[in-house]
Amino acid sequence: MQPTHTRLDATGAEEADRLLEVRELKTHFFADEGVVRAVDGVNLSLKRGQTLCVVGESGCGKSVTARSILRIVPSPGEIVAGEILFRQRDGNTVDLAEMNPKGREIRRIRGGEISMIFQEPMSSLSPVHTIGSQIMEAILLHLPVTRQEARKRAAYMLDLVGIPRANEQLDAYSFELSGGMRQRAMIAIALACEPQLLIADEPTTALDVTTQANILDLIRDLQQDSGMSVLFITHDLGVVAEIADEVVVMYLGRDVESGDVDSIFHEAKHPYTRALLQSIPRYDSRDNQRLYSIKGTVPHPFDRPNGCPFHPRCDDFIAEQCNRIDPPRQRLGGEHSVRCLLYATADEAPINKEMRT
Amino acid sequence: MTSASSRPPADMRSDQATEIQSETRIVVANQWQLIWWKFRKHRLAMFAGAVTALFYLVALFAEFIAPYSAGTYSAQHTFLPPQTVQLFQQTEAGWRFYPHVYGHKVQVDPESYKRTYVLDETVVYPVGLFVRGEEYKLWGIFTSDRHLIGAALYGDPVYLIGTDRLGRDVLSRTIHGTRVSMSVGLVGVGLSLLLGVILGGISGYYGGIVDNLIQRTIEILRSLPTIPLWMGLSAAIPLTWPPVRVYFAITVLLSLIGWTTLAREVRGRFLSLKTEDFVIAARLDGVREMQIILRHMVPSMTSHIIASVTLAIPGMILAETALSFLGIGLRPPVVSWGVLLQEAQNVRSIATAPWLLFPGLAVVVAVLGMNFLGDGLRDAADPYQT
Amino acid sequence: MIWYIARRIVYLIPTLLVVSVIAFLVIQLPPGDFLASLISKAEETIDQAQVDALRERYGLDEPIYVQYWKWISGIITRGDFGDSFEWNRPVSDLIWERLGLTMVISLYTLAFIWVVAIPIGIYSAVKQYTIGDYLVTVVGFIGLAIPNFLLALVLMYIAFRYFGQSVGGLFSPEFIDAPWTLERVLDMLSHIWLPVIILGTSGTAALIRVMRANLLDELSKLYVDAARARGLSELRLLFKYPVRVALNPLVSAVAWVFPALVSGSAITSIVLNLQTTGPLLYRSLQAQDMYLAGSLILLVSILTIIGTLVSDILLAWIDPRIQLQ
Ligand SMILES: Nc1ncnc2c1ncn2[C@@H]1O[C@H](COP(=O)(O)OP(=O)(O)OP(=O)(O)O)[C@@H](O)[C@H]1O
Ligand code: SF4
Ligand SMILES: [Mg+2]
Repeated sequence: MQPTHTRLDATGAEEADRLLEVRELKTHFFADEGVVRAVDGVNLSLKRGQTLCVVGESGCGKSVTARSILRIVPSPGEIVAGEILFRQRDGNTVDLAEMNPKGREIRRIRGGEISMIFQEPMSSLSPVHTIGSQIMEAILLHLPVTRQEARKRAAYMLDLVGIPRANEQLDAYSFELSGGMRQRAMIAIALACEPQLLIADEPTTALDVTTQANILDLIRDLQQDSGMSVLFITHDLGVVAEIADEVVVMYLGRDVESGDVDSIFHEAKHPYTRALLQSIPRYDSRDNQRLYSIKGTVPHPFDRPNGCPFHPRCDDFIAEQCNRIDPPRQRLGGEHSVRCLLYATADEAPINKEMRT
Repeated sequence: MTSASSRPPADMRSDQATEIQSETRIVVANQWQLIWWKFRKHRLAMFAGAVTALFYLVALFAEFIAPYSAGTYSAQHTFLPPQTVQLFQQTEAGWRFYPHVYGHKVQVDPESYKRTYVLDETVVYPVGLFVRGEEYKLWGIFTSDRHLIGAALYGDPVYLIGTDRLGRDVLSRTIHGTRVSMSVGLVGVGLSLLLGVILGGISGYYGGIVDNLIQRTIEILRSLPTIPLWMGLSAAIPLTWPPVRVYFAITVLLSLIGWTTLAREVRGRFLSLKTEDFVIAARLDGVREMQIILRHMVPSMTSHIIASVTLAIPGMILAETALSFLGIGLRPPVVSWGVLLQEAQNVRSIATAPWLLFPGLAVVVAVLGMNFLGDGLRDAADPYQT
Repeated sequence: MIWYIARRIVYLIPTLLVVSVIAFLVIQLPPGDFLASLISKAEETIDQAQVDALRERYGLDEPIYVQYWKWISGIITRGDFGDSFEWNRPVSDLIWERLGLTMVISLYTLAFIWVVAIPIGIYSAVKQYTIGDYLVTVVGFIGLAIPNFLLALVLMYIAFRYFGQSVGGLFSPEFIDAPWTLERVLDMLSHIWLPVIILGTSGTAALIRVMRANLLDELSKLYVDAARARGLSELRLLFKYPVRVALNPLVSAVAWVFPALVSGSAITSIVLNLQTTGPLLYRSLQAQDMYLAGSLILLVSILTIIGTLVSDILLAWIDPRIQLQ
């Protein structure tokens, strides 16, 4: 399915194919009590029309990564390092990390080129504005249309995401809709301006099982029709198996392993990824959602372990090494890479160095 | 946890279990400590707490702290302006530490016969701490003639904040007024709290019709304009009643209308607590209702209630001050800040003696202190919330 | 919406009943038969026939609930509030203009409070933990701590001492008893700002805190981020979403600010000598002119209840969630 690469440095043709590339992103929160390194060196790469899944336990920085891309990290959070390269519709590649988060440039991208839907549909719609006015707002901001046209398009979008009686529902308030319908409305808003990239931050976590499946199908259908890329954040490896082209596994603000979906599911290398995979129930995983039962707990964000951040919980812990050496990112062939000392060999240079050249 | 991976699994499990247990115990034991830690970070609230404590100390030891009794007057020194304390005095030997105030000479305008005071720097009255003065009985028990501050020589006319139209010391009267004003707030809030906790508790705990009825009553009471009502009701207090009874009548009136806020607070807490695990557990265990309320629910609300009470006292103080100021609350010879402010009821008297507003300053500082304190307490009452 | 309003109005009935009972209580509270005090105060002797007529009219020989019924039905059916014995005129002659002025001052103050508190509250929330925010907080607390009448006294003293004029009153002397003309209205407007500021301080301070807290709550909500992720500019975002939502509780705050205003204006008006209900109530209470006092308390209470009702309806109108409940 994936073309094999010998080097991560992409050739010209592949470069044109690449929509989003996040390099060594670091987003820290400067709280009174200390610095929370919520995202501490994340790499992502997403091609046009593909779906990239980000998985990891609660608190590992998935949402913060997503928000960093759109530059809507809440204060006291700040991007302190890294690049977020995004290829705009006009063909220019821009670094979102360098933009002024309140500036005109990023605002044109938000909603226009990159849209986002959030974890909780209950609270991501304004309680005192109609659904229609919120869709129209997005349309009027990014498309050169009149109010009437915007309203028409809003109704069309509601219809597209499968909301019945779309014309009437334009004037409904969010509290009049069910959770699933709200998430559909959110998707309608997000896709109203035909973005190139949809970031979906656990869009189904707060919904019941049947609705989850429906929403997932909806996103997949819409993606097929429009050819947009999707950055999908989830807890649920079952969902990943279903929709992902590429997978990034995160732990404590790092991408510990990434690669195409087959290599992650069948040739998982990192002890954390393997533990995650083992914790999936054998039968249909979506019916039986539960938290990963990896031993121990995610450490408090203030006391990150030294060396490999996973070492206190790792079964393959190498004494005197894992607690000292921060494992570099290691290419294994293809797009498959891992951060673990088990795979650090002398002849293969760490990827990070290679990337900087 | 850090070394968990090197241990056999069975060992780890039991280890975890004990750890969880001890963790919960620590958390429970430290609730007050957590509140205290959080409160301590709130500098302004700490300071306000100290100020409030000071006010209550003054109220407790009014006779000792005030230079004079509330009724002491001097006919020769009416409307005497405040005297500034000079800490040093120049002698031939140089400056020496000698706290004192200057005397005043009376000048009579030859035409209008108006009396004015002029500072007379030749007359010096030494001032000291722990001086001998009028004899008083503290709390009706201890007899003493020591005063925290006053004229070093008994009988010297030392009036640091000036005097009123009868030549009474404004500072002393304000200090004596502290006792009544601060305690009206406390007693009034105490009564309100009783009403509020009982009615709010019933309302929140039982719900249903009872709740509805009490809520409607609260709504009605809250939509009434309190001050006109207070005016109407307190004007009906017979003039012949002794001061103590008037005092209690006023506090009862204040709390009859003031309990609603506390009741709402209590009800809200009850509602959210009702569904908490430990209450449900207690009920499943067959614990009697009243016992559930007293043993389990009231204690876990205490911190919030303390905060609300602190925030309710200033309202009571202000209300008493306003009513007494109008002459329909407490009445002389009782001294409260409101009663004292009656002396400053019109611009003319303030223009002659602006220092008569001094009790007003006391009101503002006391209320400000308690508001800041209450605010800090409320923030700290939820130690787990950031 | 109609149903909502209808339901609120039905809810009003028990409240009005309670209020009328309280007002009647105030009338009845002073010890003794008020006719006795009337007779003792009267300058000329009142003949027995007149006394009997009054007795009959107020039902003084009958049980208390009959007296209440006579009083309240007189008010409802004939607008007859009884007579003021001090003024020797029907109560209804004395109160309407005063009530109107009370209303005008209260509404003005309400507008003042909103106009001042909302922008400052927004500023304080958006600039949380900056020097400006701390300053607003401290000044707000001080505003809450100063009793209105004290502020009135201090401002009057300052005006008297440093500007040599005595402020107070709602009208210049020549307009006090004049009929309502445009000049009189203008004259009133030139006087009204001082009482409005004095009355408004504590309410403003309170509402700033409410606005700040509400807005801080709203600012951290997800729908704000969602709107931001749509590409809205910060300023438009702020006013269209969180500020708009944070304003709702402010509208319902009218429900407690308005009674507090009417209430507070009673004392401030006495100090400032305004021609509102406060001073009249005060005088009537001192003179034990109980029908006047009771009527004033009744009407002022009704005024605040109506204010509360209006604020409830307003809130339901701007916040679609309310009507559902
Ligand atoms: N506003 C904030 N202030 C301080 N720290 C924050 C803030 N928001 C997030 N963090 C920290 O960033 C870390 C990552 O949070 P994030 O929300 O990205 O987790 P997540 O992977 O999305 O988890 P979940 O699956 O629960 O959504 C957490 O440890 C959290 O403590
Ligand atoms: S580096 Fe060591 S501790 Fe970290 S995952 Fe690899 S083996 Fe485990
Ligand atoms: Mg998240």
